Amino acid sequence: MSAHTVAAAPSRHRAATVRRTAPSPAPLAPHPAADWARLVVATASRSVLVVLLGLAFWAAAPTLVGWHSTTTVTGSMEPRVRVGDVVVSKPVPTTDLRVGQVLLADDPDHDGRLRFHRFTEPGEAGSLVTKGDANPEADSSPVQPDAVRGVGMLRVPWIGLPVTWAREGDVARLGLLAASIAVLLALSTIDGALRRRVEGAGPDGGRAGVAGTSGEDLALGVATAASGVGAASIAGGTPRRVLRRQHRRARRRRSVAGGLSVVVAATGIGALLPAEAVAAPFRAVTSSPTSTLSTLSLVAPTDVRCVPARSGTASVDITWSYPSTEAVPVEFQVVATNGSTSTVLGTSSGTSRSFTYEPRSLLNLGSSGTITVRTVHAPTWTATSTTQGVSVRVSSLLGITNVSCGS
Amino acid sequence: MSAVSPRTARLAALIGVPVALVASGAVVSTASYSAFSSTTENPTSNWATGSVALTDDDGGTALFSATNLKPGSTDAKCITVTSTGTLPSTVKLYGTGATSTKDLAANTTLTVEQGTGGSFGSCTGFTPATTGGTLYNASLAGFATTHSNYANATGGWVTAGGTTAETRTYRISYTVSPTLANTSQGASASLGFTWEAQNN
Repeated sequence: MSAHTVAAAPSRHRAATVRRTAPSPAPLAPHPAADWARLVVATASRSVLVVLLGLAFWAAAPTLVGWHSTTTVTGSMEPRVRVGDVVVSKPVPTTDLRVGQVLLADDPDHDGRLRFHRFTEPGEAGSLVTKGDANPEADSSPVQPDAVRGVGMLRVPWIGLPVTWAREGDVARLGLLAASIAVLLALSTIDGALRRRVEGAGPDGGRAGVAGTSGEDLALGVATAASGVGAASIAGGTPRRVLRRQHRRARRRRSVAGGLSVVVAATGIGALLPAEAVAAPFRAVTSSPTSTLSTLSLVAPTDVRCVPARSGTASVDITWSYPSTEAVPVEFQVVATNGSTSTVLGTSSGTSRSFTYEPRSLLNLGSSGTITVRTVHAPTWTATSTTQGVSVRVSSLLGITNVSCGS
Repeated sequence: MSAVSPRTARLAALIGVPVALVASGAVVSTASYSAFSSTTENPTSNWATGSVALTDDDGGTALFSATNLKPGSTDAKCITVTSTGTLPSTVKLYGTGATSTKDLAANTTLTVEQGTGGSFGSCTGFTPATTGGTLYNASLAGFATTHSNYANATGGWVTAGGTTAETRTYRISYTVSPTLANTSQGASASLGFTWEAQNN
């Protein structure tokens, strides 16, 4: 409002000078081109401000009827919804939800955050699978119908940008915005003097009595009322000095009222504007292909044989077959069974297919019996060959231990 | 050029308001139409406002394709996940596609650690984080049921975004129970791992 006063001052001075020297009213408007420029600039500034207020109105007013206004803070719905847009969602019954609608819902991934994504397909158990248009995949966590707050109906561009800037702590842009609005406010008043000429100098022969009539300032309501009061107090035949004093007072009142109404309007809209920020979330995934673990199947040795001792040795060879395609066991155990007694004659590595049994002493006498071979992967994971009538016999003759294959 | 009459000035003051109101209404209705009238989607890869992006170094190879396991079998593999998104995000891990036959998954312990160093080829140099290093240490069967999507995923790795890529290595190991019953011969279990980033 300071520019208002500055702009008005020269004309007041000019008017005083004119009165003393030349009574002609013509010099009151010595620069028509400058006046027209002021008119155009002020009108344009007012238009921009009213457009902004109009956008704020569309963003804020639907909340009065229970719709949800939310600011989009990420671009996962681009290009349809951009960062800084305010989206207005209308509450609908869950039975009215359709694939393709853009839903505003509580984000199951983040407590207290909202998700504004498109409903792409019905999920399990009545849930709704959603996806951001700009996301490569659907959201991993579906939305429950009772978490849906509304369906996107209105998109108000740009008006939420201050909210996103505040969220990012972008003080520079917020400051620039405030400065721009202040400049627009100032520019929108520079044609005030054109509307309130004291002298009846206009081409239409307007009288001084019209001075102070309603300037449609930005602050429409309060300013109009204030200037109305100002105009009413100015009578047609009042002396010019009194008239000017009243005029100055009226202008001060208008300035104060205008400033107040701007503050009131800004506060009201600020209160109505959605503080709630939608994080229409971006998501990206990377996956490790499915890992598989499988346990082995136990396979017992087959074809167990006893190869007789060679002359001069007190030993026999036990041989067996085991598929090389199967898992290599920890070891093979060669077992002799005599009645209910089983004795492990010895062990062989998992890759071998034979075992040389060489009894050392009479203690091995009891180890005679039917031979089986056991695949051992773990203490409890064993598989034993079927009995094939192969046996060994340990005997002692004159203190010499001998072993032979039997059947 | 004629002077600006007060009447003209007043008219100009009045005319701007309804014009601007109509303009704002037109902007809103047009924007709403383009956003919500169509149900088709136009995917875009042009994210001027930033995005999140995630890759890993497995080259499409599974961490484990282990066969012939037996009681006590164990192995560990590492995978490095890289965030190249420009937005700050939180990266979490969850399991997908879990299957199990003959109780194998229930009798296998899965351990997931996060830290630095190592890569998909080798865990050499892997160092678990000093705090929150172990993300999971329980049954393989339990992982996919307790961590099945982003909402219940494990591991909140917060990335700063910007232009610098950030990496984190995960060491995943399994141990088949030494007391796995003989009846679990020929059993199988499977599990996929998915890392998901969402912007903060």
